[in-house]
Amino acid sequence: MRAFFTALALAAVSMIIGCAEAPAPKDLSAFNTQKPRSILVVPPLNNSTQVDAPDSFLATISVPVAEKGFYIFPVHTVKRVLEDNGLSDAALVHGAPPERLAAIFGADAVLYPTINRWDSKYVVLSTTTTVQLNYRIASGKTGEILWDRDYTMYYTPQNNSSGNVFVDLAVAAVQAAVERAAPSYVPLATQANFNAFNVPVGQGLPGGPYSPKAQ
Amino acid sequence: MSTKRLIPVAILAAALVSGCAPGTLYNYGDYSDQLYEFQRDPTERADYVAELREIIADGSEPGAKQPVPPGIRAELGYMMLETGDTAEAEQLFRAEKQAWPESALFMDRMIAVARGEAPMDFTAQPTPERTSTPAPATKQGAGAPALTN
Repeated sequence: MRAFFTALALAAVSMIIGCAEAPAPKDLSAFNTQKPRSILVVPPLNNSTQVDAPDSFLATISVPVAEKGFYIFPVHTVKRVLEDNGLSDAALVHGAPPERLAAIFGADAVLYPTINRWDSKYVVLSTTTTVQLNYRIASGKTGEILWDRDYTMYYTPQNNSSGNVFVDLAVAAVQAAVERAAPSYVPLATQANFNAFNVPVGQGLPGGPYSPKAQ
Repeated sequence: MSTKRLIPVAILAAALVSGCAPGTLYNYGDYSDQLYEFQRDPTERADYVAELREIIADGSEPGAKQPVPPGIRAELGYMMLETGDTAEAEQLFRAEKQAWPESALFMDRMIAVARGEAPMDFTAQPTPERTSTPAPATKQGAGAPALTN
């Protein structure tokens, strides 16, 4: 009986996570034809109210792209080189065609990230942050879109229960105050960027040349 | 729980804490946190540089299962360039180019900058011919510009 309720609970949780309606599988034909080896990530366009969202994004984007098996150009160096090349504003960069950006660095593909939403709701003892991100990867050779994803995530930092309800409340209160005062969105951005490339299977980024499956 | 059972758990915990989780290609250490802090506060430069050095050292150890991640050497090279350590910068750019052929064109440009042969404004340089495969390491300074004074 317990197993039945556990299964039911798991099913309910996975539905809440939003797997209820499977999106159409991505058309990866252009990606698989061109097989880019390297990806240039340019500074994100920020349409949100969170001023330092681009910082969180750039700090955490390299790991999942590299782990997918691509060469990723160093994001901070890229940002500075673009600035020195007259592309100091993200809007300017996003307006530049992929062939032009790719030629500067010798990249096979260019990832243009856009942050559409990044806001937090503070509710007494917990904080939920909603992020909406768009990832567009264009070919550095032909300019065509190789991969495109809109990703939305609702993030609440997890608290481990100490078993004592008063301790838990105190910990949660401190955490909420800290989050309000100086939230570090690095864990959130890490999770979002990982999910966008990997979850669910079928919507993720195909593996690159250094991916173990490719060898 | 017996001690025997605890050992693999402890190893796994240590691996996860060290950022060296099983099944990942690279060990990025504290890169994300350090880059975030440095972007927020440029005076945190020393911490960020130290982290890059540590990641490179870890990946360069003999028998290291996880190589230095892509771009990290180049990133440290750029930081060295900013502080005027052009010799070390050039060395790092060359190491990046050797480890990652995909970086060859970019590293050739950065090497030229480190050697004082070219400005950071690449658009002043002619764009080298792009081939479909990465340029071999022996190719002489792809796109080395005829500098106009």
